[in-house]
Parts: sequence; C-alpha cells; structure tokens
Amino acid sequence: MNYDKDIKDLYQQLRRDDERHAPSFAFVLSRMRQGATVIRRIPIVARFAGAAAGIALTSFTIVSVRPSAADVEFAQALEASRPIAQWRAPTDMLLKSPAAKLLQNVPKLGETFADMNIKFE
Amino acid sequence: MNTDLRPQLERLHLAAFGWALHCCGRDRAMTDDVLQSVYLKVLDGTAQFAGKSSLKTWLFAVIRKTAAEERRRRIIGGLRFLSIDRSENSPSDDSVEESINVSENVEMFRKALAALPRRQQEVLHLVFYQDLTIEETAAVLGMSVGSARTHYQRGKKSCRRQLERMEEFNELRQGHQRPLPAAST
Repeated sequence: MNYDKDIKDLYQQLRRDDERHAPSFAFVLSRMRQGATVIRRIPIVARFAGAAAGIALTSFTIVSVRPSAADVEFAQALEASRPIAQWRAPTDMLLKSPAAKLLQNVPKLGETFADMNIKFE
Repeated sequence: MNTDLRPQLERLHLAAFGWALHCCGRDRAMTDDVLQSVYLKVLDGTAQFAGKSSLKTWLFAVIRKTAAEERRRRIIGGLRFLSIDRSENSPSDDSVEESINVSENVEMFRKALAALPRRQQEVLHLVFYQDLTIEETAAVLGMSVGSARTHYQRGKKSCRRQLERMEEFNELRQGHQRPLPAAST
C-alpha cells in the first residue's frame, strides 16, 4: 500500500473540506474594517511601564505596612512590661491605712469631719 | 494602508485559512480572529514583507506567530479581556460547525493527526496540505532543513501507523456489519 499517496489524498480531502467552509476574503476584510475583532493590543512600552508601576506600588506597600525593627522591639518590650505593671503583692492590703481617703482629700476651711463623708473600709 | 499586497493576499486566502485553522487547533472563531489580525498587520504595514522568501512562506510564518500570540493571550488573560464582537452572523457559527459533513475516514484521519507531536503535525500539514517543499516548510517554522526533514520522516512514519490502525479498524467493523449467512433448512 502506498501510504504517502494515501496521506496526500487524505490531506487533500481535508483541504477541500476546509475550503468549503472558509469565509471569503471579502468577508474577512469587511469584518476587519468594522473592527469586529480588534484584539486589544497594548504597546510593549506601556506594558513595561505598567509592570514597573505595579512592582513599585507593591514594594512601597510592603515597605510602608511592614513595621520597622525599632517598632517591633518597642512593642515587644511594652508587651513584656505589662504583667509587671499589673502585678500586686499579696500583702498589699496590709499596707493600706483605714484613713487613706482622709489623707488623700484636701481639707477645706470650716469643714467638719462629718461633712467629709468618709467611709472607713 | 498597503494595498499592493491585497490581490496577493486574496490569492493566498484559502491556503492561509487552512494554515490558520491548523495553527489554531481547528478553532473556527480563533482562526477568524487570527486571520483578521494577520491581514491587518500585513495591510497596515506592521508586518513588512522584506522579499527574502516567497510571500506565501512569509505569510505562513506571520500566521503561525500570530496564532501563537493569540493562544498565549487566551491562556494568560482569559477570553474576557478580548474585545471581540461575536454578534455577527459569521460562518463560524456553531450550527455551521455541526453541519460539516466530512467522510468518516477524513474525520478519523484528523483525529489520528491530532495524536502526533505538534512539530510533526505542522511539517506534514505544510508539505501535504499546502504543497510546500521541505525547505519552505523549514523557513515557515523557523527551523533548519535537517530538522524539518527529520520531523517529516517521523511524522510520515507515525501517520502510516495510524493509517494501518484505521484500516484494521475498518476491516474489523466491516466484518461485524456483514450479514449473517442464512440458516440452511
């Protein structure tokens, strides 16, 4: 069997079949004029400029949003100091004077002790 | 607009359509888009024919490049980024596509070809479908003549194997379809 001839014949059948369904040259040109298939072509310079702007914007965002090393250190120190500041000695209440409020208030002229309305704990 | 090339483009239109159809994986809508883009490039001078090869060879190379760009664009950007108006009543409608009535052998051959490596398909198409020489094929595909020849030989070999399988299949099918002999009484 002459396969080369067979391949050629089959290809030619394919070709005839394709040609039967091909749009005419005039039809393709008319569509082209109407701009039916104007594939959006962005010039290469604009593409590069866009890409560069995108990279710059991303870099700036990353740099500005990311805290500096000093900020991180300060935040860590603050976080570490918080439990110390809140700590109270278990014997703290023994140091409280029953008349502590009396000492904290500013005395006024003519005011009696009863007027001060101090409750002892 | 470069109108000098218009009559020549018209003369090559059917061949260009066949090649564009192949380069676009037989996608009719994409073929139409690619072909229009190519004609636009040629006529507005974006693609300039330097006369180093035949116009057909050059045009085929432009079609191949444009189809590759279009494939890439579709993969990367998705179809929604393309400003394509498909509302026109073009022959690429699905109804037309479905109405294509090709012989079964051609359809099987088409499927068999689709199984070959892309380079082999391209070389075989250009040689057998477009009647180009191996040298012209190499120029279109931007490869050496030696490479084109290798692809051609390998492609033919693969194609032969596929044809043999088709023959076996047809014989097998004809055997099944043969009417059963009448029972003797």
